[in-house]
Amino acid sequence: MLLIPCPHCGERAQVEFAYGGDATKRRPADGAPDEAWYEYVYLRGNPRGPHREWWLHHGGCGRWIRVIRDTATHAVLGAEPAIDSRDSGVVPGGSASGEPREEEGGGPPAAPVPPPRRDTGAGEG
Amino acid sequence: MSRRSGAQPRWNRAESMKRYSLFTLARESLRRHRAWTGAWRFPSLKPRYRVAIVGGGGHGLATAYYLAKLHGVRDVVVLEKGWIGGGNTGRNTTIIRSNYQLDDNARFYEHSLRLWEGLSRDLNYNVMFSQRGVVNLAHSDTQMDAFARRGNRMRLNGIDSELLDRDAVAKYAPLLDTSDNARFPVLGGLLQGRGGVARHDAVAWGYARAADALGVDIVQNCEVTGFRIDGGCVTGVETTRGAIEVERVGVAVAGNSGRVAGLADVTLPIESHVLQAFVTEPVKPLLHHVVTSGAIHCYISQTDKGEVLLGGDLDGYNSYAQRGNLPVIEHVSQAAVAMYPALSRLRVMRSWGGVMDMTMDGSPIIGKTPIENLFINGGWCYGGFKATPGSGWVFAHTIAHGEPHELNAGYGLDRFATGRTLDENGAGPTPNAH
Ligand SMILES: Cc1cc2nc3c(=O)[nH]c(=O)nc-3n(C[C@H](O)[C@H](O)[C@H](O)COP(=O)(O)OP(=O)(O)OC[C@H]3O[C@@H](n4cnc5c(N)ncnc54)[C@H](O)[C@@H]3O)c2cc1C
Ligand SMILES: [Zn+2]
Repeated sequence: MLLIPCPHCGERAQVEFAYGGDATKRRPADGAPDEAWYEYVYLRGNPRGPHREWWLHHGGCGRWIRVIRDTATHAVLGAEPAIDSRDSGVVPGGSASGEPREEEGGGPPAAPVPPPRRDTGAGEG
Repeated sequence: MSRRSGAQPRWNRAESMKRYSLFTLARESLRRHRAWTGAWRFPSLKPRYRVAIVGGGGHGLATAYYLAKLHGVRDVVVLEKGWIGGGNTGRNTTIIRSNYQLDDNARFYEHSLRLWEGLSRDLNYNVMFSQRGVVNLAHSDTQMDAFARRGNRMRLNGIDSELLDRDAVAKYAPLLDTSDNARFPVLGGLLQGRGGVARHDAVAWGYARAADALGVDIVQNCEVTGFRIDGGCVTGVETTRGAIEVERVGVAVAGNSGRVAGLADVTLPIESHVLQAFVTEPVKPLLHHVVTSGAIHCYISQTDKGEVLLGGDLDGYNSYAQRGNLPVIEHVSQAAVAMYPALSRLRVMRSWGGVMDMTMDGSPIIGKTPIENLFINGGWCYGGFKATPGSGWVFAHTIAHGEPHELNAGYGLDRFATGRTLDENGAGPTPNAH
């Protein structure tokens, strides 16, 4: 069981969280060229080692947080609050204002990653 | 295979030892099995090869075999950082099926299934392919509708499928709880009778032995650490056993695809995730088919050793650890007992994990890279074991011709940029949801 130190609630078990993926991707500005969108939507650094990633604390404070976790050992190296609309003028998941962000990474995903739909072939081994 | 051609007398000892048959088995048992030789050589690395395959899993070994057998390219080396078959090939739940809806997937996986059907004979090695049938359970009317549509689409592609109602499922899998009181009531299922399982290790060993016999060098404990690239074209491979010159390179490293492509500065639309499986203590035969439920995230079969083999979903977060956490095992155990109450008192013997190369659309990538003569085979997600023969077959073609075969033309790395993704699940670019 991973123990994730939520900056708002303290250390909690992994089952209280939903994973939101790579937190280093920056959403391109509206009207950015196709390559920028391809890079944002599809490409991932996928490192073996420290990985900065989104987790949603749905079983606690209900907020997105940013966690640094080692993908080779699963060791959780740290966690920090996500910047949200209140402190940066940026709506989660997008840069409505197009303003530059102070920190690395864009806002958290707009919605939790949807649970896998299982009407079709995947997830059947 | 043409090992018997030429002037060799048929009864030449060394030669006939190479071909397995009932006769050699009987003869060697009379000799107390002392004279069996290794199934493949342990050659040292030569300075130069025409083709280097990175990764000695089923896919890499199958690629080498088909290159030698079908394309006459025998100057091939397979570079494996550990031991062959020690990656996902030796860690998976071995379900083989071709029940896909999208035309590109349907044709490719059906081609692979047909190769499975003749594989033991082709390799002269028993891969223990058992077409015991794979049934996917439906637990809602919506799912029944989706399965009817999926079954029809399979049939349009010439693939067997059968829609079962609840009574038919109950007859097919008698120990399954199909009662009204089931935790997840079963409404029916979609059966692919030609689906089944195979012996994972035997697939790696069978391809290794057959490729080796055709002259392919398999070099284990040899990790690829870099590529030599000259003017946008790969010319050599650096390994922990030294550098080699090559004309072409095929990468088939599953969960490590991103890392190895990264050595050539290629970023892939792939995330690595951990998928777990586990087995119970062995018991007498009680499960005769593969039964899966996507809705409750559990697939279940019984191995030839008698263990009940269980698998489910990914743990859900990026991982290269080859091990996961207990919540998934707990979830899958609950699902299995809900489906098969008779399993409730079996003890779990061991669990393990493998690193899954999850793509952004859930379909594999087999084709060219931006580096000339460097080809990639990866992004197998949950389902690459079933693809092993087909994957090796099309990848060998791709490497030999420098262009994809029509069966893998849709699997190009460029499909993400052009928007022609193959998203069987309709889940979008969220790798852990495929
Ligand atoms: C728990 C689990 C259950 C699964 N269940 C199913 C199932 O039921 N049905 C199904 O069809 N599929 C299933 N799969 C998926 C399937 O196992 C894989 O997709 C498939 O085996 C991939 O084969 P491969 O040959 O590409 O990879 P692997 O067998 O992983 O081979 C890749 C090899 O590359 C080597 N390598 C990596 N980096 C380097 C390097 N730098 N240099 C040299 N060598 C390197 C590795 O050591 C490894 O041996 C499952 C996987 C897991 C983990
Ligand atoms: Zn919290």
